[in-house]
Amino acid sequence: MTPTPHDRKTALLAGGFALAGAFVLVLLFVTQSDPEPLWLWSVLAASFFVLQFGAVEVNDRLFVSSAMMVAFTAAVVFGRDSAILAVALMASVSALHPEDLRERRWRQPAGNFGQLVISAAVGIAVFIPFLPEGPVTVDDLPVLAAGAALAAVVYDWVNFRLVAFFVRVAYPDRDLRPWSKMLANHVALSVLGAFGGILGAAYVLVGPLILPLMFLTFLVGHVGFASYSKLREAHEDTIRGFVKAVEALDPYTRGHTERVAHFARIVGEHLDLGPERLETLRWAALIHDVGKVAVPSDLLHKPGILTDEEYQQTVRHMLVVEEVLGRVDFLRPMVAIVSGQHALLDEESAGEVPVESRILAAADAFDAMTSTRSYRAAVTQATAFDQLRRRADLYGTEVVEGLITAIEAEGEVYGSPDEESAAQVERLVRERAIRA
Amino acid sequence: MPDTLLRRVLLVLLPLGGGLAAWRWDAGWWFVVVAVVYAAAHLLMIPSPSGRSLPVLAAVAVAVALVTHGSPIFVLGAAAVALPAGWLAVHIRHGRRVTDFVFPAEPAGMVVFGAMIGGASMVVPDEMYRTAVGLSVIGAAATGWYLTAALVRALYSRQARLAPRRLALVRALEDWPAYLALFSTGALYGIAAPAMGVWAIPLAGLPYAFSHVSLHRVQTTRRTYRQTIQALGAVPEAGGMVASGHAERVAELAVAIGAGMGLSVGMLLRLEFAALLHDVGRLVLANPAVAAGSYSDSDVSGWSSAIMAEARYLENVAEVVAAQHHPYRRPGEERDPDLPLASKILKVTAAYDGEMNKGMSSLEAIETLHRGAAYDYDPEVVASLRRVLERREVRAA
Repeated sequence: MTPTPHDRKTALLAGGFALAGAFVLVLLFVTQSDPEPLWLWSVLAASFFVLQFGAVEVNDRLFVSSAMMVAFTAAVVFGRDSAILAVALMASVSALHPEDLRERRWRQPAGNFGQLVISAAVGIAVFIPFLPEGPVTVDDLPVLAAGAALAAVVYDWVNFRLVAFFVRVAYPDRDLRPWSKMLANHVALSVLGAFGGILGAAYVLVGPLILPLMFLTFLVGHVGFASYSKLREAHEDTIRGFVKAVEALDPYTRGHTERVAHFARIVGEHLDLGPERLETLRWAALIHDVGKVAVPSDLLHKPGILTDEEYQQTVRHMLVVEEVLGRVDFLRPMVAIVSGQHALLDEESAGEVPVESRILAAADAFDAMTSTRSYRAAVTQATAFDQLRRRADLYGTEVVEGLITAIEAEGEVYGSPDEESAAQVERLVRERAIRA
Repeated sequence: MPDTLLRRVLLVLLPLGGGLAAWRWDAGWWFVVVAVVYAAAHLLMIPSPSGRSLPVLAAVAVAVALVTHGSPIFVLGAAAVALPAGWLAVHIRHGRRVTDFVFPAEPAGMVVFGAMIGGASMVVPDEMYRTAVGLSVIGAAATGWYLTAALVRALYSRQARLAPRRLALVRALEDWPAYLALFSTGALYGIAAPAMGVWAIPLAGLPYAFSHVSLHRVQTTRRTYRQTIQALGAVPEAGGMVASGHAERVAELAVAIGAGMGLSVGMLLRLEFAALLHDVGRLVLANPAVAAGSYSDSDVSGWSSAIMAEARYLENVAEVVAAQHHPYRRPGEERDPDLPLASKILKVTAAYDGEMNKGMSSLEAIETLHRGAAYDYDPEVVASLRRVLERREVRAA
């Protein structure tokens, strides 16, 4: 493969980063003394390395790596004379990600090396004035903790700027979340930094006995968060798998749930619902049709008008959903959403229906219109949009327009390609229904 | 009324005793402070994996043991004074359900812990307490606490009427992460406090908070996961395809039998999920063409396991359900040694509940199973079911 100009630019950039990092390290070797004892540095460097790659999901989409904590512990433990060198060396070791080594990639690690060494050096250099001249005492702790909290934010900011620069040049089409939007991360990091400082002081004041105890407490937390992530994944996987399997029983609605969940998500994001409400909406969308399976399938697909008795049976499906969902704590808010969605069927109560229900109902209706069922063909996207607009008083104008804008913004097209083919499929469906 | 009376007596006696101690005895003020911390520790609860809430009492006890070099007066004496107050506080704050988690298991654990520390304090010199030696003593005593509490929970389990005690013991032993977090937090504080003063609080508090949040997440996610499985399992019932409450009853009985037959915690969970979901395949019957045709029980378990296998995390549960329809032994053949015990248990309990739903008495139902024992049903499982049922009848009488 011949290198493209873009490849060459990335390689140059990575090389430049690595050179700058190496220069900083050499400078530190000259100006600072070696971290002593070596075993302690090795233990801390190993923890730094492990934590760097072992970030845990504390919250939905908030990953926190505790490597920052170890950096400030090491800075306090090794003191003014070798703090910067000790931490920069740790950071340089953690540039070697095992994955990169296995795949023999060098650009990423070279870039990381420079970025990690420089940000560590700057971060700890900011912290140095807060470190006492002599051995740490209890009286130094307030200044130490405050300094570490501040320096942690600087450390992170420098790191972010370097990454942003690298990404902008090397991968111009990739988006990066702006630094100012990650407030929760900064708070978490400064707490971790301050805590790392206190931990370092504890090591100096109390002795190495602190380390195994710390390790144990963190282990519980770490294992806990790991199993939480796994459980959450299992939970979602179970619901999805189950819904998929149940849908497969009915060829006409295959993929319906996933599509409704997708529409609900993009509309919810368009209307800025916030992460928690989006999550509930997503669960509701995934599970909204589960009661359908309790209804005999010939009723669901019956062409023409249902008899009274048949209608009663279909209504039972809604009650089934409510009964089943009502038994589960976290699904209970969804009962409101799902039953709200069904309440839309009679227009009187539409006024006080929550926005999530209206989103779900609109998404459901849109998917029903744009997919072929046993009793009628899919309409075109334009027709479906028209239909939705006509029912805007039911779903709410903001929901209908939100759905249309979101689908158009995603560049997606659903339903029959044009009126003519829609009419053709419709004819086929009718003929089949008459034969049946 | 005795509850209110007890409260009033305690509310008068406790401050009086505390005041007396503080007035007549040099270390009295410290004693009162420690007792108040013990009592307050009852109100801060850590969520545990088994679904309980445990008071942070263990952390306080370990910290006190380290700070006072294992002084029995502080470790046990202050706790003894504080226990009634703590009990009162939990009762007022959380009500009966949580009080049951705390008593009598935690006080029993504490007594064993205090006795071990007290015994060791005769051998271990004071200056050794905040060293690896002292920490080993504390570690051993803490293990004693954890095991004692689990045993007491098994003995006093309210479920003992319904399931073998082993189930309660296995569930209680699941709580080790919560105890580990408490003991190491207490030890961190106890080791650091003499040198660092109040700074030992954030030092021990932050890692504790991290563990606390993570355990809380695990607990709630576990609960919702189980409830979801329960709800999904209830869909065929809601559609009138299965007798109401069947899955729930089968799951409860199957877990009781499984615990009696020595299944591990992981296997019990798998069995419970398998039981809750073993009839989801009946949803296929919503299709009138299938419902009108002929199908057997083995078709239903095939459909059920096929639906479950769609979810990656339920694959091993699906295996239990898939193997469920296999008979224990076909006439003239050796029995199949690879048939999982969980599947055999599920088969027996599902059949038992099925017979009960036909209007049979428990005795008649188990007679039917006995007739099928050694062919359809594993005789050992049937015997185990019988033991569980007898236990219930005896206890109910």
